[in-house]
Amino acid sequence: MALCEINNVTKTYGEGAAQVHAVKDVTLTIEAGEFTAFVGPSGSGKTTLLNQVGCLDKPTSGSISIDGVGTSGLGDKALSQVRGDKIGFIFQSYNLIPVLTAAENVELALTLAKESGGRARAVELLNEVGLEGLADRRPNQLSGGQQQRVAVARALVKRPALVIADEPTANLDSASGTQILNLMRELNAKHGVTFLFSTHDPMVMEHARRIVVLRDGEVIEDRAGGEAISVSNVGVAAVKA
Amino acid sequence: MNLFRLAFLNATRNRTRSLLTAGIIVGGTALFIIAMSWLDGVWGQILEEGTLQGGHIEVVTPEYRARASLRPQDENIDDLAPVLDALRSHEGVVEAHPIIETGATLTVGEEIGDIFGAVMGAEERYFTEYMDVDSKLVEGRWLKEGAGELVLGWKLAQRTGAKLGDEVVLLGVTQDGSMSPSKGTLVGIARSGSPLIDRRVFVDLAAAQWSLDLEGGAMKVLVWGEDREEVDELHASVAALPALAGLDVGSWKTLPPWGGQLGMMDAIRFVLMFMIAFLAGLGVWNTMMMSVLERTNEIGVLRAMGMTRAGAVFLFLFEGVAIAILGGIGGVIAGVLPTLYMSKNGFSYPESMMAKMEFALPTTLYAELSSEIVALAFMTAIFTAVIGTMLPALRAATIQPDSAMRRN
Ligand SMILES: Nc1ncnc2c1ncn2[C@@H]1O[C@H](COP(=O)(O)OP(=O)(O)OP(=O)(O)O)[C@@H](O)[C@H]1O
Ligand SMILES: [Mg+2]
Repeated sequence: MALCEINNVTKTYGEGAAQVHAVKDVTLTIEAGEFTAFVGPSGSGKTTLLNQVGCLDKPTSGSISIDGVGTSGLGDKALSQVRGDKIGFIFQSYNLIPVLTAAENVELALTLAKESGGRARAVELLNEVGLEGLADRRPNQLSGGQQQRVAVARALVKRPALVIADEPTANLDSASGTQILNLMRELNAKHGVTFLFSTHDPMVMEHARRIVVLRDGEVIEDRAGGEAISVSNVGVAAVKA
Repeated sequence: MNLFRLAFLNATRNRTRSLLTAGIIVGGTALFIIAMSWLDGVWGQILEEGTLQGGHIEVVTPEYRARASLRPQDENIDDLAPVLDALRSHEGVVEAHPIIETGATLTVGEEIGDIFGAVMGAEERYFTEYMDVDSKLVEGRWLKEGAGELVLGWKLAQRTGAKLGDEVVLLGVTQDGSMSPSKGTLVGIARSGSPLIDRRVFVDLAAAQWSLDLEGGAMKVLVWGEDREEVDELHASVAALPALAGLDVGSWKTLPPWGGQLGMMDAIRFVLMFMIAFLAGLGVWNTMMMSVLERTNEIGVLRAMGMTRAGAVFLFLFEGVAIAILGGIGGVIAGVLPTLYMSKNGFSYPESMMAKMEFALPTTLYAELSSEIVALAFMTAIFTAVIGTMLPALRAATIQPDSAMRRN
């Protein structure tokens, strides 16, 4: 069974003349263990689609199911629980809670998912993402790359079925970005966690195993990633358009 | 890691702002405690003094009651003995004393005087234990009952030029309006600063009865119970005494001058409470609103991580309450310390200020701190902080989870 079914999802913002069709009739299936990138020019609907899949927002029409749970009819409380239990998020600007230490930020994900394990599991995961000894630092005492590692640990600590990352490397220099990407790949391979992310960056696309190209809210291409990118110029052309 | 800790840390985030808010609450709470303690203290002293002199219960004829403010001379209790007997043997009555108040012009020596004085006749115990006039003697001694003696207030003594040992002639009227001259030997002069003593002539009850042609009677009988606050029960049982049938029995809680004021004191308390509530509520509301607006993205992140709407409300509510508790504790300390000092050392004012007052009040006033006031102040601060935080917290709950994805 597919981890995530996206059926005819449309998201429309605004009304009348100001109406924007951010996502138009998208149908996709994401299998467990995928490492998939949404690519496309600015405004093509990448973030909007991730919002729908991540249950941060409700589609105007169409349906989404995650891990066998249909999300269409769910209320706010049930959706919160789906997010808490099944989905981890990584954001472009890290979005750590500034008053909490690295370990506490990670632990918070467990608290909100009503899971146990606490600090021990948080520290264990921080070690796994390469932050030994930095558990008690606050976000402002960490570099951007380190903060994003904390965010990765935070997203993964509750062992979610799906991790959603919106342009996770956009705020990082290329070296740190590559490291974060390698880390995500590693965790994907090791734990089988499904990653769904968006990017502008051709370098990031190289790491993806599947690339879904969006344009004006529609899927215009869905293909294997990695090496394939160098032989196919179609994707890059679409991005640059 | 729990949400209490996060809420608490959030409260320390913008330290200046939180401290300012806490400071407003400190000020409001402290002000409330100080003001209420003074109010209770001074008011308590006024009532204490007032009901000591005026009795907890007053027994008069219904006709007297109807015109009480005019102090009618002709509406008296004619047969005092059964009334006094019934009262003095009644359970719960500590003491009962008959009182006569009338007016007279004073003459000392040959010339007929034109000095007016208020004549008061009562038993010695009333003067010494309840009015406490004997302790205010500046010259001479207290009068002996049945010896034709009198004591003058200082102002009257000054105006008439009377000296100890002088014969003072009082020209009054009887209860049916005839002229009624009487005289007494001046044995003492009392001074308190209040007209209640300084402009009075004190005589024994028999002399006053004679002068009013009211032998065996009195204008009113004042009654004291154990506790002025619990007067209602005593009042009911005294009013039911058969010997008092046909007489008007009133309690200090309903009679002038205090009766009408009790409601006003409650109103003042309420206004004070409302003021601190308003201050604390507004302060917390402002701070929390800014916090919510600043943290839109962060609330989105927490919601993305699985926090429910109720969780977001709780997070801000607890933050607001944490600030309020801090302010409340600070306010209790800042309010209690000076109040304790003022309840021990009091505040003295010059005696001359009392000349303008209609009632006798001690020249040193004390605040009265009670645990009820402290608890009320603290609870009011917390309660209004909750109310003040509720609006911003509910607003936080409307922030959509997808705010986490928006760049800021
Ligand atoms: N909350 C919103 N209200 C109105 N319009 C919106 C909203 N969010 C997105 N849009 C519009 O929807 C379209 C898709 O936006 P989206 O953010 O999904 O694009 P994107 O592919 O993520 O772009 P970028 O690469 O710049 O992040 C855009 O035209 C955008 O202006
Ligand atoms: Mg985007």
